[in-house]
Amino acid sequence: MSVPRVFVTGATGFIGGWTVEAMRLSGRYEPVAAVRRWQTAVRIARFGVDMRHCDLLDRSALEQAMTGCEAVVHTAVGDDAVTIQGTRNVMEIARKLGIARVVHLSTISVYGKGEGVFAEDAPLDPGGTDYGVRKIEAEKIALEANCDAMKVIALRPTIVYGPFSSQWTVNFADRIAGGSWGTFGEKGAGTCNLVYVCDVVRAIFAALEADRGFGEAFNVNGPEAITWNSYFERLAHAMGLPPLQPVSAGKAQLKAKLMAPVRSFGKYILSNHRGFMVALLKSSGFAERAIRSVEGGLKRTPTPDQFALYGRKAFFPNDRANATLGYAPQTSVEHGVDLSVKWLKHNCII
Amino acid sequence: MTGEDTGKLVVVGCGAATERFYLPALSARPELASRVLFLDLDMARAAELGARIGAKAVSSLDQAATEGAVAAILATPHHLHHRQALAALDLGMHLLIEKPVTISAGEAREIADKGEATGRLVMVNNNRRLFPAFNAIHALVRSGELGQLTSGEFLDGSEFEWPTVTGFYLTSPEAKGVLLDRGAHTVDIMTWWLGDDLTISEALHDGFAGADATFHLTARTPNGAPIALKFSRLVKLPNSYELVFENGAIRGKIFSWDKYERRGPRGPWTTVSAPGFNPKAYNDFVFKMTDLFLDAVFAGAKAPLTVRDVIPSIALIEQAYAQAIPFSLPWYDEWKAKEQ
Repeated sequence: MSVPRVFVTGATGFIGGWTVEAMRLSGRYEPVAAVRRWQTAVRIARFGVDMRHCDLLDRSALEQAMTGCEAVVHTAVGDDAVTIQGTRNVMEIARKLGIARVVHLSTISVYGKGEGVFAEDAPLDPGGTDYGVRKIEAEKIALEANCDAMKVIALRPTIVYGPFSSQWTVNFADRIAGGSWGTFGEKGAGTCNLVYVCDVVRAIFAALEADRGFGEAFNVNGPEAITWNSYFERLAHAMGLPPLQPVSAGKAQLKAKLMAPVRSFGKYILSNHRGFMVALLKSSGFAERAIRSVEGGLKRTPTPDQFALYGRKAFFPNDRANATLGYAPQTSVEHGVDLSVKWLKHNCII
Repeated sequence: MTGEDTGKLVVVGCGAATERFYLPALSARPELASRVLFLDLDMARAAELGARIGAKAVSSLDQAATEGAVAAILATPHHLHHRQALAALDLGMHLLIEKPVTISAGEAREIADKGEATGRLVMVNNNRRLFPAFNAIHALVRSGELGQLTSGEFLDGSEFEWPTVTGFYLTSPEAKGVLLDRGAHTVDIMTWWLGDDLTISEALHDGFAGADATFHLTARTPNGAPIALKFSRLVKLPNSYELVFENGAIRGKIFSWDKYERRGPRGPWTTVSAPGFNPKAYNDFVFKMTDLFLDAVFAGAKAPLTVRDVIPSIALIEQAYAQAIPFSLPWYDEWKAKEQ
């Protein structure tokens, strides 16, 4: 029996990379990985997979890369153009090529920043984050492309953590290992909605094989509703560190506000004067130590937006994905964190 | 050594190494502009890079030789170096070969033998050999003052940012992975400092069916001292080294090329400044190596480094690849289990 060939966009990213790896290791699918920049393909190149150099905004190259595939997993995300026009290009070319199944990776950010329980029928919030607004538009394009000839399913993963997650695993491990991180009382008592990345891949596989749910979106959450404080504590424990100490949320928030202009200035300098920064770092040990110190401080200080997230009480139930796609998360937070820490240690990150 | 003062130089391969390193190095030598040729399978690319310094594009080594090329810089994918180097030597050219010089020690030996037999210079761009700190450590270790090595560690890694044009590093099985790429520098420095009689006792990789991105190995000296080396293209490592000897220790950051630290058997660490060429940017070492090659070929200066010097490191890397076994990576286990 032939193995379905699946085109994966965003294949050099966190979830796309895992999708490619799991497909190859399990032998259930033959991944065809879209690669925009070779530099970012190191991770999936380890698996000797079929990598095709293309840009989602270059329709000709994209069509050539997608040719011969039977399904698409669309995880790529970027600026407005990549996220919106890129999604439109993927859907239109998939339709043109007769591709029968597309799984579109959306996000819970489409629900905005509010609190409460957000099932799939909750209204989407066009006033949320820039990322969420872009993803609303992309998800709309994807689901509107659903038709008899091409079945489209959208997935809305929650906080996806695990090996290779810069945002939700490496960043927190760095902060905790740096010694200046802790728990934040009520400010860290929001719902964390952690889902281990392999559970998201399981949901993707379920959507590739589902016989219903077409034209619909599904939340993809983990098995436990824990708080952010609890996540930080579990991560510290798995890292073999002493229990985290409570950090004054007031002081931390004040620090976050004070650091905001420094953060903005740093971003501006890195965007516009990177060469100068490199020369400065090289020219003076004092300058290097000072810049590294500021950089470390910024990394370990939550932004106001992050504080809002850690305190937010919002939950995204899986019931619909379970009933329709047969998706059920299998990785406990304890096991997922344990695997994450093993990966962090293997890579000398901690 | 050679004093070829009228011949031309052909740059073979017009990818990222040429654009980033050799083009700027050659543009700083305007007296050579009319004597430089660019060669690439993609003639348009060769013409484009050549035009930046007023150089001509050619389509083959034979054409370059006909045009008067007496020297070549090989900046092609490393698994092609062997064949191209032998062809260039057959045409009587002196060579500067980008690192890693070859994918096997046998290939490197063949190039060295042929270069010596034909009286042609074959240099390699192992430019970390120009680091003042590394030269100072080499002299210190080889003086015997520190006694025998008891243990060592090299940590060499960063996210892969090399702007490869063709992606061959990741798509060609012959290109291998991070060990041959980064190890071509670090393993060479290790063998240069500690000798060519090291052996591999353990080697672990993460190249499932493709290019390894993480490689850990343990080398041993003849008296059994372990040297741990860790390489990564996935994450930034400390990029550091530390060697402990009977009578003291040395340590440093790989890219702090002008200094290292030293201590006695029990004393505190002290920083040692190493005199010599100390540029602001790493690329300047490549420019310097190119200059040294050009001076050796066209002005008869002494070559600082030949292909034969790096053969022990290529041999050790080859041995490590032959012995390597996959890491245990439990985060992939659940997917592998389903394969059975």
